[in-house]
Amino acid sequence: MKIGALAKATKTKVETVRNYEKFGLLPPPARTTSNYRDYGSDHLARLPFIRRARNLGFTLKALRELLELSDNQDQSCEAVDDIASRHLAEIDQKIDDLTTLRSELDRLIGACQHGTVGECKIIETLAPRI
Amino acid sequence: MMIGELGNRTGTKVNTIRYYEDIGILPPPVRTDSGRRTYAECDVKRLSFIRHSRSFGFSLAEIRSLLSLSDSPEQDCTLASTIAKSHLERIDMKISQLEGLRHSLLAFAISCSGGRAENCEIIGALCEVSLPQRTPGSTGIGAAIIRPDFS
Repeated sequence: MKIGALAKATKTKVETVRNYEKFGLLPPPARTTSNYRDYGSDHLARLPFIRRARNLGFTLKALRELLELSDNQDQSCEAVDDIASRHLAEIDQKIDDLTTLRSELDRLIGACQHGTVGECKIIETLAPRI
Repeated sequence: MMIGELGNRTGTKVNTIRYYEDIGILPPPVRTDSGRRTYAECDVKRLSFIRHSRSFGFSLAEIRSLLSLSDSPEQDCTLASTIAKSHLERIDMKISQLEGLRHSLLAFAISCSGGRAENCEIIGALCEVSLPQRTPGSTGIGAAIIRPDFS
């Protein structure tokens, strides 16, 4: 499929698709006889993963490492362990941060008495105390 | 006060303040004769509200709604609670996506250090697709982390 179709199917901007390719996250696609990029099912499967991981705050570099782990099956166990444990630590940190945020937000929602905005604990908490 | 002082008092970069003005979440400030932006205490309050909301992870669109609510104290506050709840759901989704990714990565590391695909049972639904095995022809971690639909 052409880049426009891939972009549409994955709700990604065409420019973003090209950038992912430039950055080595997407393998270079085949080319049509008229030299248009011609993407396959592999790209279609990989792109949503990249999008979600980006949305979770992973850097392009981190993503490239994760995908390389997948693509190069002949890496040594030491290398795999090193990469995996670094990313596991990063993932755990993100989960911790989100869990903290979640409990703060939950407390905020619990405090809401469903009255007017003037009495609203959510707005009150967000507003500066000056 | 000038933009630099507003930035200092709220811990906000000058570029970010200009950006907030561009997208209309901060009102255009009064300008000095020489065209420089000047701000008042109400701008400090508004910007602090925005920054504090950002620290809770609210999107700018959500903050815009929260701000407009805070401008009308007589209004019913249900919308604030709805916004916060939908944000909470989004956080839950992110946590579960991260846990899915964690399982896949762990499975991959296990398969490397001598464990085998059987571990997949423990790891559960997310891993029902092929666990990456470090054997010829294996499908790799990409398969494990791409295929499970943790969207």
